[in-house]
Amino acid sequence: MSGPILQVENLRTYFHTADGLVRAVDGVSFNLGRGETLGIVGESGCGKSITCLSILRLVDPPGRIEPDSTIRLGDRELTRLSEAAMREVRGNAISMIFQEPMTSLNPVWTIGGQIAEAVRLHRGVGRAEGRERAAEMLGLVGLANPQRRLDDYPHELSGGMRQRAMIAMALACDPDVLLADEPTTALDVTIQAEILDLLCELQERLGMAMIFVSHDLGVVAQIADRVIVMYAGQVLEEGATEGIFSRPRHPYTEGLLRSTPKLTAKLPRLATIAGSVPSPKRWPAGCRFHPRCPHAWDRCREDVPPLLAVDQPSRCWLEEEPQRRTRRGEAGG
Amino acid sequence: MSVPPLVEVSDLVKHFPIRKGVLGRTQGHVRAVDGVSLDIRRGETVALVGESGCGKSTTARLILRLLEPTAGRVIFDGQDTLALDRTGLMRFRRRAQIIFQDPFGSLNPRMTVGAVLREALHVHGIARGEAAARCVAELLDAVGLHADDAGRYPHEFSGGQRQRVGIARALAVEPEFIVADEPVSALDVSVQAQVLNLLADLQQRFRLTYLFITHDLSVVRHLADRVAVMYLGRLVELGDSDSVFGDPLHPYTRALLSAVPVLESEGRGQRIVLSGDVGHAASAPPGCPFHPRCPHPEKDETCRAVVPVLEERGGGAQAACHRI
Amino acid sequence: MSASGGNGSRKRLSAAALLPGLPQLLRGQRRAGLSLVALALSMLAVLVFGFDRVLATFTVGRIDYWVAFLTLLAGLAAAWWLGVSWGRGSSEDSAAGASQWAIAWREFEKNRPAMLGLYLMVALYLVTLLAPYLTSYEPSVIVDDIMRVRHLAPSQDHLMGTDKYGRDVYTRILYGARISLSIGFIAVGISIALGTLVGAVSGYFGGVVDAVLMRFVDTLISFPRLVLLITVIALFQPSILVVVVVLGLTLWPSTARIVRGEVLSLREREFIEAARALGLGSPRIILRHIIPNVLGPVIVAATLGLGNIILIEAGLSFLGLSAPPPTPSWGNIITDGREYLVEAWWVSTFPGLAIVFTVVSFNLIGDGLRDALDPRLRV
Repeated sequence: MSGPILQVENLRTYFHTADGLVRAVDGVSFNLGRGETLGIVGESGCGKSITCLSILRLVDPPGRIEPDSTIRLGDRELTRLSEAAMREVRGNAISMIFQEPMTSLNPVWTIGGQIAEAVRLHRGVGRAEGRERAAEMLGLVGLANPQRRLDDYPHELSGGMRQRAMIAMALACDPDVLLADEPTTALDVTIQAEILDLLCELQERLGMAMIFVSHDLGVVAQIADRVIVMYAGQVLEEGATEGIFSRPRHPYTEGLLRSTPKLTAKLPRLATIAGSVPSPKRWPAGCRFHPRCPHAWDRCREDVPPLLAVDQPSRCWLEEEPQRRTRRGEAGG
Repeated sequence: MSVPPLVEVSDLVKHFPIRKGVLGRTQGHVRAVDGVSLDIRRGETVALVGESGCGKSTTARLILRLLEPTAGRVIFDGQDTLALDRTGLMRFRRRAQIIFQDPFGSLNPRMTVGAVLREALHVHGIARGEAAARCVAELLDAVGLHADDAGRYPHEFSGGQRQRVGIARALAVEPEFIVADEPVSALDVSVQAQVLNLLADLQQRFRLTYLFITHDLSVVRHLADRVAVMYLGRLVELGDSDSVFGDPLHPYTRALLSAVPVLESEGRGQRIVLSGDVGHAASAPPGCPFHPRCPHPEKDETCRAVVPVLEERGGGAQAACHRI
Repeated sequence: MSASGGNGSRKRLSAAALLPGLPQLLRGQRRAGLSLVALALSMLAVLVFGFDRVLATFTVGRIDYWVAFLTLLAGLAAAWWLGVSWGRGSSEDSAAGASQWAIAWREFEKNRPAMLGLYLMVALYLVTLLAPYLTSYEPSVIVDDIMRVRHLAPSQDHLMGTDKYGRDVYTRILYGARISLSIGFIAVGISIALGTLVGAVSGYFGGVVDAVLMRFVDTLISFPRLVLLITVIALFQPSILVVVVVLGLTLWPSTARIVRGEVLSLREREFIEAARALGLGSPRIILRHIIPNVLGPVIVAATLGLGNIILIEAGLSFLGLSAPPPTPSWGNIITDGREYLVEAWWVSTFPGLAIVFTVVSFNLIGDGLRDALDPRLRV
């Protein structure tokens, strides 16, 4: 009840490729409280998905979690567990749902078989019991007629139903933590709304903690209690959802919010962030956002800002020198 | 109002046969587009909105005659595009262009950006040699790239830059009409805004007419003059942007609007959650295509049996629904 | 600035004139330097040690001598020209404007076995072209006094010994290489040209065209190739031409299948649709947009096919179905030595080794190309 269920500290996941070092995740720290939903937002290549995979230690070589990174689940240090012990964690204490439900379900197995397998593996129950649990889970995620659905193959389900089946599989072993990596990105808007509702409802009912990764600010705003904004492998800003979206501190968060098209207001032009996301092979020196930042000055080009301020930490020198904020930033490019 | 529209689409139909077995016998039809009528006026932006599989991309390809329709007509500037001969079709291709969704798939990886653009210029005899090089530089400049980029290959660009190259290719033949098929769906949010602004700028500069295809309603809010909403091969609502966004008529449009995740907690109404999945065009239900998911409290036998037609509902809005 | 630049380039010119590859070596480009040095030195060695044979070109006037002469000239010219121009643009700016071929080459260069295969192949073809300058014997001339020169063991005079007619085995292998290698090249050329065209047309147009072409391909593939070869060759006189044509015509269906598969997935890509929207005609789309994008797998298949064809040809010669004697080919040299494997092991062993080295080097190159051209390895 007290204390976070998952603590990630100074997580660094580097890819040692032939073309050089790729610092995909570079010193990410956060806590996840029990029953909390933490949203991770960021654009492509910012390291949000690799962060998730690192927590499950599913990063393939040449990717590696660097020493000194800590990932604590309860009182267990995941980075030091053996591979066998880690297998016990995956799908059991922590499970994950992916973006593309078609490719993350095995097409040659029935839905029921796949869910039952996970249950039997982690719970050591028999065939019939596994099947029963699978049917229960399919009912829980809102599939009509779950007993019949058990024997369906993934291709017989529609996209939304497949994502529900994925969720059923992930939740079958009552995980403490659910990692959801862009779970609604491949879905239509109306289906996305259903899945988001489902996730919220299930979380309330089952009391698990959830990390919800998305590039879509609107989705995160809807589902998360707390949000971290990632850019270039680092956390740029962290805070309660309400604060992040109504009072963003970091210029990047601000820019993202302003460049997101809105349904309500008809604007002649959208605000933009100049330039494009840098390549993970060559992060800019100093503050990694400085080449695109409207406020950047010398200090930003040279010194790496830490996460400053307490209640809504922001990795920006403006926290120390707020008078440097320029008009250009206000105008939004 | 006496000016005729640039594009007149009437009763456009496209059925794809479903073939099965060794002999490839036709087992039925996917009614991808099932009677779409739409006028696009000069200089305006019409957004064609719908979820996956609703037939919006097929409609776009039919209008550009990249696919042959099963029935219906497309009149472009007074000419029936289906009646065009070879030279007529080439002239049409110069006036109507397309921008694609996937910035990775829409450029030939073996050709430099310059070669891609020169090819477009060459095929239509617009410019050769020195003049072509100058044109390429101008085009790259127009879409916010550098003239030196002509020598680079697509894989050396970021997604947003590639999308700019795709736009430059469409602009190369100096078209009047551009179909933009989900041009920003594959891009990062911060880059999305750049490309949307670029499209708006180019429209002003070259007096372009856009058909903007998207599944994301928020993207077209500030861009579209009119919005057409599609569901399972049919238009269910068509109207001015303000009326569609401000006062949506069709239950589907309402559900779609309410499902868009928004940043502001205020200003959003009750979310209408639809039950069931988007139907498939191969097994579209009889009657109103939307009736199995329709949350309207008064839906009845008529909805299940009779296909509603797109009718004028006042205020420049049209909707296809029995219950309005 | 300009003075020092001019000075530097003059120095490089003189170093290159002295020995191609020297400036590259001095600049630390070891691979380029060493290959240039090797090329230049080997060409010079041929010129010096085979000088009388080079001169004989003008008196004998046979076409293979002229080919050898041109090869020698071209080799020397290439060594010195490359010595001056190679790597003059600095290697640093290679990141910008690098085509996918250039990237594939960079990938290939890193692959040591594949580069070894490439060097072996280049050496093999040079040797084949220069054959008349590399030996003082004739491949097919039988001297009168057979008994005296018959089955001589390898020695200074006969590097790889002599066969039952007293012919120099080394010379016969040199000349035999021409047949083995050229058969491979021409047959693969035919099969690639036909296969790519048929595959691209079939995949691009689809429908009836595709169905008809692919059923035809299926029919051809389902024939046992060796039986087909033996039948066709039995109908005509066994000759190199028949073997080449038959091999070429039986190999293309597999290429066509590879290409068709690639084209099917390529056709769905948006750049093909963009080309159609621009009003490009089908021939232009196939030639400009489709074929360059399927060349990767085709090249890999071709390289691996080369090794395969050399093996098939050797098998056919062994059965007496290829080049008729006394024309040497690796297969029939092995046949010649078969009966005397115990007394004169060298007759069959050396052509056998030649086949092994050739096939292995082609397979190394093929594997290297497959890795280098694999789009999945690239981000």
